[in-house]
Formats: sequence, structure tokens, C-alpha cells
Amino acid sequence: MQRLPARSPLVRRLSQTVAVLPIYQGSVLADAPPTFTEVGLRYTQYTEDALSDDKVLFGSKDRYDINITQLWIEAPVGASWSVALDVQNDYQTGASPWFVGTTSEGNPGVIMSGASIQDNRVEVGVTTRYFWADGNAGFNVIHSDEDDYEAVAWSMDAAWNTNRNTRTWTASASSSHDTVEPTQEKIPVFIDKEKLDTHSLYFGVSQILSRTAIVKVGLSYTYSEGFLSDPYKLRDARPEAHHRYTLATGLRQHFVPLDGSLHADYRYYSDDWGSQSHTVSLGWVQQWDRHTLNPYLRYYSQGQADFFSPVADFTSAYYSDDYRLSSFGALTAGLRWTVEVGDWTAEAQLERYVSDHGWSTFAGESAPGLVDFWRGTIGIIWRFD
Amino acid sequence: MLFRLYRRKVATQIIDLLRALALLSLGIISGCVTVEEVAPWDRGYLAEAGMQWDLSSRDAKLEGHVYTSKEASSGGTGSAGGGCGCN
Amino acid sequence: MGGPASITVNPGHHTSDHNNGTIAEAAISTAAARLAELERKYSRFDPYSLISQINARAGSEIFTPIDVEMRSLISLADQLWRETEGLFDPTVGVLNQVWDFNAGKSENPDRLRDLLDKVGWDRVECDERGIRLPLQGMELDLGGLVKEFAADCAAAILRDAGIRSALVELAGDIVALGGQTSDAAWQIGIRDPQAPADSIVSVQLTNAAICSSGNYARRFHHNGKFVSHLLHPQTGQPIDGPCSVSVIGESALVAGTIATAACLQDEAGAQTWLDQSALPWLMINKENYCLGTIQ
Repeated sequence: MQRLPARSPLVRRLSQTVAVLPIYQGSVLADAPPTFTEVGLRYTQYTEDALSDDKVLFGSKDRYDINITQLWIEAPVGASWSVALDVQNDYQTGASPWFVGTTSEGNPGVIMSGASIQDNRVEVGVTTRYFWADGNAGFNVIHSDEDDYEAVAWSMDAAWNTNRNTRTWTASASSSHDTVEPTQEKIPVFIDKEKLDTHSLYFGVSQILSRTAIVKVGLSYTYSEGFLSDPYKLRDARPEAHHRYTLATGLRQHFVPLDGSLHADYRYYSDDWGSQSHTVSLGWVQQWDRHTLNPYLRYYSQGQADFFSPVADFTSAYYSDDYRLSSFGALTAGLRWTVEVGDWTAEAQLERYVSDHGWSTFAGESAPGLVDFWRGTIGIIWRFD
Repeated sequence: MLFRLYRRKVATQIIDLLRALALLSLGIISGCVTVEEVAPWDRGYLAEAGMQWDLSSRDAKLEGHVYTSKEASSGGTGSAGGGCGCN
Repeated sequence: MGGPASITVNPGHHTSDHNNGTIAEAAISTAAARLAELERKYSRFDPYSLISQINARAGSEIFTPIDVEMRSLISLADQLWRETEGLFDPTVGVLNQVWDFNAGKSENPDRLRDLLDKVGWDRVECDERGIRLPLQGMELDLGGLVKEFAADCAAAILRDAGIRSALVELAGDIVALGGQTSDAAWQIGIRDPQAPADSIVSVQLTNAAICSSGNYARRFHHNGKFVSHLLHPQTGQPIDGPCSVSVIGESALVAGTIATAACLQDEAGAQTWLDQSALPWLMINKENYCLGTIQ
């Protein structure tokens, strides 16, 4: 039987001219499962920059190298279901800050975890999704396993279209049950086995503004209870509960003469540990023949947690010298490129992340362990009937 | 130092602007701001690949993972997903 | 448009409804009425059609208002004109006055030169007021698109009536709605240009369209050789293109315009164009060889 390939750029350009006619709309935006099976493979490497000499008091200056392989298959089942299987493997090697001490001049400096840590994580997830005329709903189960950490998580989400399908309401709930069993080899660890439960709710709505623009806004709440400290840090004692809130909004605007789309996103985050953050992302998606180019920029600014200090004060109830809880700002610049050849799509992506205490919009003290990294991804996707 | 203060000021302004965008979207959704009614058959541009919230759902997932392991913040994209020891 | 039209509905493949036959009959008559309406609107032979009105106003300052449907078809024509670097030109029809294909008469060079001035899609003015042909004697003809569009419209009416299995055929353009039965596709034969009663190749279609464009239906001798009835908009000479091209696509409009535009190019150009579309295609060249991705 003759099967139709994905629309070529030529067919896409021609179809676009008559896309306003009802008979050519069909199910372009109606909720329907994918009509093809997709098999994808992506390989990502990210490499953290070595710390500079003046930041390290003792140990290796090299940090983590992480290799991630993602493999998935997603297929329609019958007329109204789809099923996806995702497998991800993360392999990481390197060292991370153990604690922050002070030099004889009183400047904070990092003591690294010493010998190289190796860890492999395997995550397997299954998602099923049901589609009906005005919406869709999904159910997802994930199991993640590594030497010292195991997690079982599930999530449910649903989307409804209202107001003649110009508005879409989305809700989701998820829950994760984690077990920490730190390996006792490289550095002294003071726990054997601990539990952490996390529950999360999200509610959002998107609205079509015009034939070329759509916005969304969403709120989320996440509650964690259990062991929230980092077992591999010497001076890290965090509360046993964590309440996190986000307000996120986004805009997509298509520019017809340029055949390109603008992406703008903003997220505000706040938690009961006293930390807040702003995240702003801007991107441009340019279609050009069978190529798509997507340059993007992200700015992130966070304020420190109440119990953070550059050198942990372990006389208090809660304390941490983890740079991730300090005040800092970070910039990401990246470029993503995809090309479609027949049933195949190839992608390549490169991004740079740099962080600096001075780039934060919040007051706070600086941590010596801030991280910069490069991330590169290559991938290939095959779609067939 | 002066440069840093200036930079901080610019960043604060950008954030105010985006807060306004958030308020605007709330206004639209609550019906206080009117929007153009777009017929179902007039949504060809909205269906473009470049107009989706995430260009690649697998990349969005990975990116969320990477940022969660480097920054204190997480969430805001939908479901929280599975845990890992990277945090 | 012209040419034979046929609509086949397989009512047994609709639902368990007892009134299948009635629903099918009603849908067919709605579809037939829609075809007649499109003929009245776009035919350049009907003096009361919208196209005839636009053509009658050629050379005047009057813009003829057009609706969303016609604006879309014009915008498709414009895109095709760009993509083919001017070979697809909805104003080329005026040149047929020099070439009388039925009589096999050759051109009159002076008359041709005069008429070439009246050809050129880039001269047509189209804005929010409507459309206007700036020179007297210019002619707009959307026949190259409307037949395919009509086939899609008829199929959409049947689909909206709940019919799951139907075949719409409008002179070489075929739209298959569903399969012939719930588990068998529609079998469509592609005609042999040399022996139109026979088919060279048979394709199976489900929810897809196949459109054929070519010269075999109307060819004539000139200076001892066969020439095409398709004319080059810049030279006014017959185009030395492939004998016939068939394309399979999700709609008749896209498949048909890809096939039509292929026939306006030489064989190599047509092949590049068809590959660029990435749609399944079959070309029969002047030597009567078949090539393409449809097997």
C-alpha cells in the first residue's frame, strides 16, 4: 500500500496557502494520537568546567562528565490510544564539592570529594495516552535505578479544549518515592538508608490569541517529605519538608513573512526554604527548507536559601554550603539544528551554561563552587506507519 | 561594581516586563482582555512545528533534569517526573 | 473544469445504521450540488461566473471582491508561480487563441507577440479590495486548481456525512475516502497514455488522493511531431515536457498541483521537482518509459 511521507517543505509551503479552508483543516489541531510510529535515539554529553585554582583548597579541580543516552519508541494503538516506552541511561564520572573550608586569609574554598566517583543510572518509563475529540489524558510510570538511589514515580495528566477549542486547560498530578542508600567508599557518609517522597500538582491554561499567537500560564505546587540533604556533603542538614511553588507563563508568536516563530517563557519560583528565582527564556525557530534552526537564550537568577552560608554554620539546626542553594545568576546560550530527510530527522544541539554570583537579582553571599558547563546532543528519529 | 549594579537593574526591568506578561495572560484567561476569535480552520500557523511549547519533548525532559541538578528551582512545566540522586 | 465526474459510495461500510443507503444518497446529492456550485463560480466558459466577471473587467480600474476560498486558491496559484519560477501561470490561457489544438493549426508569430504581452501573473493585482487584471484582454483561469479542489470538497462532504468508504473521481483526479472495505484499500489503475483503456500500474489508496496531469488527452501534430497543449508563459511555445505525471498526496489539491507543475518542466526538471515534493510519483516520458517512486 502507498503510504504518505511526512510533508516535505515544498508540500508544506503549498498546503499553508489553503490552510484557512475548512476542508483542509481536518484534524490539524484536534486531539488525535500520532499517525505514525516514532523511534528515536539521542546521545548527550555534558562536561562541567574545572574549578579555578583559587576556588579549590584540596582535591581534584575537575568536576563531572556525564553521558546520557535516550532511546524511545512511541506508537499509536487503535484509533484513540498511544503508547511510549522511554529508556535513559546516564553515566557520570568525576568529583563534586565535599565541603567548603576557609583559607588562612579567611576566603572560602572548596574541598573536593577526592577520588573519582562513577555512577550509572538507568531509567525506564512507560506512558499511555488516550485521545478524544476535546482533549487527551496520559498516565506515566517511571522506574529509576542507580548504585545509591532508587525511585519509582507515576504521573497523570489531562488536557481539555474549551471555547471552540481556543482555550486548553491542563492539569497534572505526580508522585515519586525515592530511596537513598549512599555508597560508603570514597568519602565518609553518615546515613545507611533514607526515604524521600515528593508529590506535585500542576494546573495551567493556554489561550489562542490570534492565528499566529498563543499564550499559556500555569501554577505548580510540589511537596517533598523525607531525606532532602545531600549525603555526599559533609556539612549539609536540610529540613525534612520542602514546599515549592511556581508561576510560569509562555508565548509563541509566528511571523509569517519570516516563516519563523518566537518563543518567550518566564517562570517565577519560590519555596519555604527562603529561596526564590526568575527564569527567562527566549528562542527563535527558523524553518528553512528541510532545516530548522533554533537559537535560544536563558537567564536564571536565584536567591539563597535561609540556611545557606558560604562556609556552613553547623551549629544551627539547618545548614548547607551547597553552591546550588546560594544566590547566583546563570546564562545559557544554545543552538539546536534539525534536518528532515524522508522518514528520518537528525538533530544536533550545543549549549553553554555559565553562572556568576554577581548576575543574581537577589542579595546574598557567594559560593565558591558555582558550575559552568558545555552540553552537546546528537540524535536521530525515524518515523514510519 | 557599577557595571554589576547596572546589569542587575536591567535584569530587574526584564523581569518586571515578564511579570506584566504573566498578568496579561491571566487577564486574557479571566476574560478581562478580549482576544481575536480564531476559527478552527484558521489555525495552520499555530500547528507549525516551531509553534509548539516544546520542540522536542525528550530534550525538554533532559533539560529539566540538567537544570534541576544545578539550580535550586524546579517545576513549572507540568508534571514533576521521576526522581534521581543527581540533586 | 469539464470532464466526467463520478462518486462511488460503499454504504455497507458506514455504520450499523439502517438508513445507510439514504444517508449515502443525500450526501452524494449534496456533493453534486457543491460541484455544480464550484463550476458556476470558477468556470471561464460561464459568462456569469466570478472568473468571467474578473476577466470582463480586465483593463478597468475595478477590483473584483473575492472571498476566503478564492483568495486561498489565488494564494496557492501565487505560491506555485514562485516555486516554478513562473512556469505555472494562471494567465497563460489567453495564448490558446493562437494555438487551436483541435484543428492542429500552428501559430501566427505577430498575434503571438501581441498576446504574450497579456500574460504574466506578476501583473495581476490582488489586495484587500479584491483582484484586478490591469490589461484589457488578460484572462485568469484557475482551472488547473479548481478541479482538484472540487474533488477534495466532494470527499469532505461525504466524510462529514459520516461515510467511511467512498471514491470521488473528477477527470483524472481521484480522492479515496477510507478503504474500499474496512480492511482493503481502493485499487486504482494509472492509465497508459498510449492505450487509455489499459492501466500500467495499480496503486492502493486509503484516505489519499491520486492526480494525473499530462498531455495524452489532448495532443496534436506540429511540424511533424507531437506537441503538448501546455504552453510556456514566456515564449508561448508548447512545453516539451513529460507525457504524463501521477502524484499521490493527502489531498487532490496538493497532489494535482504538484503533478500539473511537473508537466510544465522538461523531464529532468520534472524529476527534480517531484523528488522535492517527496510524494509518491509516476512519470511517463515521451519515449513511453515509466519512472518514479510508485511501483
